[in-house]
Amino acid sequence: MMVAALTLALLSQMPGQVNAAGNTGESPRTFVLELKLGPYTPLIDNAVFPGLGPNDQRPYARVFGGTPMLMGEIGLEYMIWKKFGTISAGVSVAYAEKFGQAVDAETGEKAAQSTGLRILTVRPGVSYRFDLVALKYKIPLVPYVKGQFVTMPWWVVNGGKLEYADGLPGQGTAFGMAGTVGLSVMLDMLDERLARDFDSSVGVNHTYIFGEFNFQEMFRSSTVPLLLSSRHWLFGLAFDL
Amino acid sequence: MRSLVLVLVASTAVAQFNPANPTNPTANLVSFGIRETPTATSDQLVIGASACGTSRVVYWVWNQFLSQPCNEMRLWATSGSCGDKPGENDLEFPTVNQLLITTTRQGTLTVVIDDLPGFAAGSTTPCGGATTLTVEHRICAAVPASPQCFGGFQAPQTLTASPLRITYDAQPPNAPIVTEVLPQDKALKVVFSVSSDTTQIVPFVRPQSSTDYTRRPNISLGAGREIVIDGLLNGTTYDVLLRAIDGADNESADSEPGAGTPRRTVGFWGTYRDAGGTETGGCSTGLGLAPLFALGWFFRRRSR
Repeated sequence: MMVAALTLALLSQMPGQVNAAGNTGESPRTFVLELKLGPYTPLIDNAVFPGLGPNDQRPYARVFGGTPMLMGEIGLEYMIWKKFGTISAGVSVAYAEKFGQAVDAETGEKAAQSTGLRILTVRPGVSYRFDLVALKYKIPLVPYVKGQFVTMPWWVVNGGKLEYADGLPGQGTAFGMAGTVGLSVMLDMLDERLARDFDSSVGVNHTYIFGEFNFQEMFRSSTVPLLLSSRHWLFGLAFDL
Repeated sequence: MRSLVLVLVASTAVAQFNPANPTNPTANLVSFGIRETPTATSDQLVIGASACGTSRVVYWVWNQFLSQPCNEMRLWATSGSCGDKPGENDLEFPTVNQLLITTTRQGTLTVVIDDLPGFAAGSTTPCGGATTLTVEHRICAAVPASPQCFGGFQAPQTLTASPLRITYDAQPPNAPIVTEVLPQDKALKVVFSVSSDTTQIVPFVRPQSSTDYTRRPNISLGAGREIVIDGLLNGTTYDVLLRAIDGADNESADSEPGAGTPRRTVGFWGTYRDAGGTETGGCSTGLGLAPLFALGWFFRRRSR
């Protein structure tokens, strides 16, 4: 009797035994958790610079060598519609930074001091995943699209401190929109039993790897902006929870 | 069989339980010993010449569960090995009552550094005449103990404590070598090398027009071998020298001075502004957060 009670108590703690819809073997899918990493090159040098000649090196290329920043991102979405694919709404937070060498103000030569651009990105938005085929017919490809608003606080440091130039602090917040097209590959098919165990033990219904292309367009001011728009790829892992 | 399993599980639990730190049962604490603090895992206390003339409070710790003290605990300091009782020249501390051992399970004793037996008395040199630069003492303890002190079933045996090693180290580290002084904006970056026992660096700086150096705060040394001295004036040449400090607070001699002149630098923001860039505008923060508010409104409607 005691063993039966203990077993019942244990099973009730397992998220993957019986879901709300009565489907045995899978816990309810409610959230999507995404972990991403990828190169991010803001289009700062695409702006017009009255102070530079046509052959002069642009600021980002001059200080950072034109190489991309490394962006890490974490996102959480709530599934709001799951009938013909899945519509989710949520928010993601990303961070990117890039460091280069400051230059001597008089000689223009590289100085023994680092300068860096740091960018935080908050992107609330909505996504649609066409996961019907993957869930129903076990074809493990899930294409998806996203639309997001973008808020990007940024700041520039020189020698570890916020940099000022002409009395102005090197910091601000940019706003814009982003569109994303991506393709996820469901990993459950590699080991279905392991996938079921992952669900029953920690409540992860499905696991994906994905690659996505982000088209990010930031609003511009009438003057020359610090243009943080970008066209960048991100790659990562996603979990249906 | 079930009892055997229970005993095995219980013995493992007893072995890992640590009453001094119940939140971390796996911490490797001493069951009977002398330590700098009751929870210290290291059995060593390093002191330098600056400790001479002072005293240190150290702890005896009793975490025995299978044995009980059958008599009072003896504590002593020795410059040799502990043994199970004080030697002729050892310094003995007040004993600890056996009831106090099991009720409080820890207590303190004050060690006057100059009184430690390894230091020759009557000399004017630091710590009573320590002519060698490194001297090690041990703070020892022993108590007769048995699982059952009364009734004569098991005769008490002398239980010796894990001693605390007090290492007197008056050997200063080597003077640092300044290899480079690099200009930064209102600062100088000093690249140097030091001996491996160095734990802190003290920078000294003066304008070349001045005769006196200003001592800056100590800087703990990590893996890096460069420091930045800030708060300087661009265009002024400064002399810089360093001093090394080891774990026993011994200070080295001064390094040979280096010189450098801070220069104004331009970072990315300055480069961007010089090129004609201006700060992003067009949206207030409130307007930019509108999407977040819209999302909140959407979910609120859904929950209704």
